[in-house]
Amino acid sequence: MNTKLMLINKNTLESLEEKDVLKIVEKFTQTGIDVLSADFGFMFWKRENQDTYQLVYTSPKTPYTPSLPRKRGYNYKASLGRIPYFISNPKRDLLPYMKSLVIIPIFYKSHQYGNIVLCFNKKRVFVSEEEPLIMTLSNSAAQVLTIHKNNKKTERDSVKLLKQKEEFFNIVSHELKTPVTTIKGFSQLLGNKIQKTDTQTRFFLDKIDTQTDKLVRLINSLLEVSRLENGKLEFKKCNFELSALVKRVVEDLNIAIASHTISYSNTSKFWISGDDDRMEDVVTNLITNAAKYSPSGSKIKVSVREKSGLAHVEIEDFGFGILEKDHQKVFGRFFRSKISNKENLPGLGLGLYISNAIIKYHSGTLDFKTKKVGMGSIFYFSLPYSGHKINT
Amino acid sequence: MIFIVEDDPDICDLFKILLEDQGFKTTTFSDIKDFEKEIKLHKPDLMIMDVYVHGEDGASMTKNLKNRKETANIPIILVSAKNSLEKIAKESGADDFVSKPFEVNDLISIVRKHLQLH
Repeated sequence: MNTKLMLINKNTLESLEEKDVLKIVEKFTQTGIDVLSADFGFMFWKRENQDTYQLVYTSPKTPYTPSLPRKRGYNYKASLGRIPYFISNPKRDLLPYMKSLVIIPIFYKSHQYGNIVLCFNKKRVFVSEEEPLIMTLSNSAAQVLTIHKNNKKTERDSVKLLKQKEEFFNIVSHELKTPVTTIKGFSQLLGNKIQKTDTQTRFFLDKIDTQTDKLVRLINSLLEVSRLENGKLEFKKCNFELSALVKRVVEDLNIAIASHTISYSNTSKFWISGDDDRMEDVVTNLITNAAKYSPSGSKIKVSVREKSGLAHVEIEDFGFGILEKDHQKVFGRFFRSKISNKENLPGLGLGLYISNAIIKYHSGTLDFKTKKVGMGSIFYFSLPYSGHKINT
Repeated sequence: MIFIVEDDPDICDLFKILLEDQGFKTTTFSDIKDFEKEIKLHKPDLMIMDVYVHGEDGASMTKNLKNRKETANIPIILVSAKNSLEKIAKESGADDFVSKPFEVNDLISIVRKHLQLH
């Protein structure tokens, strides 16, 4: 008896892994067949909120297509009783190949999933020890089916929630971009109308322009995150040379970030297959972060080389470093490092989160090493490449 | 003549002033139905079309205009704050697109390009 109980327990645990409800039904029907050495079995599934059944599983050796339960038949009696119904000697002959049978209603609280029916070709006498065993099978099936049902519901709810969130972000971003378009457009229009000598007004207008661009970038980051979480972040497919891309970003940022000197070195050229625009976003993000978290006037070193068969890009700064307590959170959403426990720097803390997803999409890894706190950090990423050429 | 179909009154003004400053004549529509009536009577040299105009679909309108013989050759520039604008523009057959917010000089050069004024 113990081995039979162990079989039920083992199959119950295994069925918890099943994603498909029909597989669960199959597993429990088969377990019942094995436990009682039945010849065949099947399951009637009760339709939601109805008093009718449908046949959802028949075991391989079932010699006929079982007809659906009849009112006042054994199945209805078993359902009313809610406990396994052992019929050793049916009042009238059912079918030539069904001399005895067991009907196992699967109930969780008042909800009935259906009935498992186990059949015997020859007359079978049931022993009293078999009753608790079949009760265990019935309860286990009910529990697994309930867990499965709840998991499905949670899955559906979370998909719905993510969709609602994306819709919300879409609407918000659209609504925010409309006034930004007006502000940006009219300030540029004003810029076209003022005297060339009016440098102060131009300076003010440039500030408005820079800040509206920043606002748009923030709105776009939020949108990107919501897409990322929905698996809807789009990537284009092209081939690009990585060192040239990094060099171009360094050159652009050397102009944009006047506070730091960004050096660039490379030993090789690497052809990568993927999305060059998004890769540019990653490099830009890593370098601007390096500038944000290091003192004005310090250096930022950027290099591209081959390492362990991968293209390896490093961005080294000589800034504040990352506190050890933050190491686990760096690539998390909305993480912003605090410099020496002082105030937060501006930003939403989404750059590394998005960058990490982009690098992963390219089958690479993004990570960092921190030198001693106060000595700076090195952020690096490695990517597989399709072509390689050592610089001569 | 440039037709501007845009439901936000401020952005509509922005397009109008911007293009009129460049010497273009403009007519603005905040309602796609008014625009539909007008396009049957007069043909502009170029159209600037918002993707959503008071819930109406400017992209479908673009597709429609591109399928009609009498309007197929009039350049249409789709504008929107939607990130998927490039895809929408391609699918609708628009000649070009401008994402909101935009650089005013970019818009002017795109308009000039399609009017072949360099």
